[in-house]
Amino acid sequence: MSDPYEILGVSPNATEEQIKAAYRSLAKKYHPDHYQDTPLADLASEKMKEVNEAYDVVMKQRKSGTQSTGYNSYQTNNSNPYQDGYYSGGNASYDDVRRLIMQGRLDEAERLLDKVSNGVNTAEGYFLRGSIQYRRGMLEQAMYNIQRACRLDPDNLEYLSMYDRMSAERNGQYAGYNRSTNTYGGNHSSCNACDVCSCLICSDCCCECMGGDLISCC
Amino acid sequence: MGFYIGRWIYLIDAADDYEEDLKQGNFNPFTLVKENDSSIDIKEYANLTLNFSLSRAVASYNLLSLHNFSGIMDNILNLGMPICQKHTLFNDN
Repeated sequence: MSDPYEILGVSPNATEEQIKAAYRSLAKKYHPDHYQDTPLADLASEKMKEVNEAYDVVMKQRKSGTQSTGYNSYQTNNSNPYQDGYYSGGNASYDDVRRLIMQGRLDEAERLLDKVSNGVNTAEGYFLRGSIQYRRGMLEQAMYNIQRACRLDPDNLEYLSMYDRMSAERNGQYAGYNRSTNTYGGNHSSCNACDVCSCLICSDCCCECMGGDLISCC
Repeated sequence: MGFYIGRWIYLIDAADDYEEDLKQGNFNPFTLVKENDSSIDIKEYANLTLNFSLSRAVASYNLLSLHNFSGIMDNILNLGMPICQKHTLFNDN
């Protein structure tokens, strides 16, 4: 591997704090969430892997056998950053909560979120809490929290798209009864007999107008 | 899927019993909602949350690859259950 300090963008004399800060900003930059479903997804995950490896090498070199005391209690395995996916280093953050949510570790995510929020409610805090509740099936509470997140941060596309999706689900656009359009089962409902018949009749009329005849008895 | 269908069943039953529970003071999730916000249209709200449950159930269902009963299941999830919502909530006669 090329120089790990170069990959992290720090000098070999940088302090541990500087290295951790550099790691965090790179991890944020290459976070796969931003690249889902885009052609850059592979590149982003490769870069993320490179950054992880560099951080691991640098930290190992510095520790050289001694145990570090700066890790938060949610890091289970020091020498195996890939097990969890990302290495959060010193202070826990909302990114760590996201990671836990993505891994389906909802109870831990919720505990960490309470710890990170520390009584202060931010838009991201509401959003993450709502995400946890959504995955748990606490749908109405999730909606409430996502709405609050959107209200605190109205330009945030991530929160808005979650809100839109949940609204669409509530309004019966995927399933259920939609009162204003009087439809069932969302946009995927197959056409009923009336639709088929009227379609055929229309086609027959059009055909006859053109001089042909689709259905001879009509 | 089972969870969300169960949730749907519980809620539609609660919606059905709403009037009576309101009168008698019995426990009902919708009466609690009404207590918190008296301006809310409970039937609309119930429909929304039932749709929410059903959407999540259908999302899981679509990931299954059923062979034998897919026709029946499709009908129940996409037609039967929503029609039941409509009749319970909006056709109360």
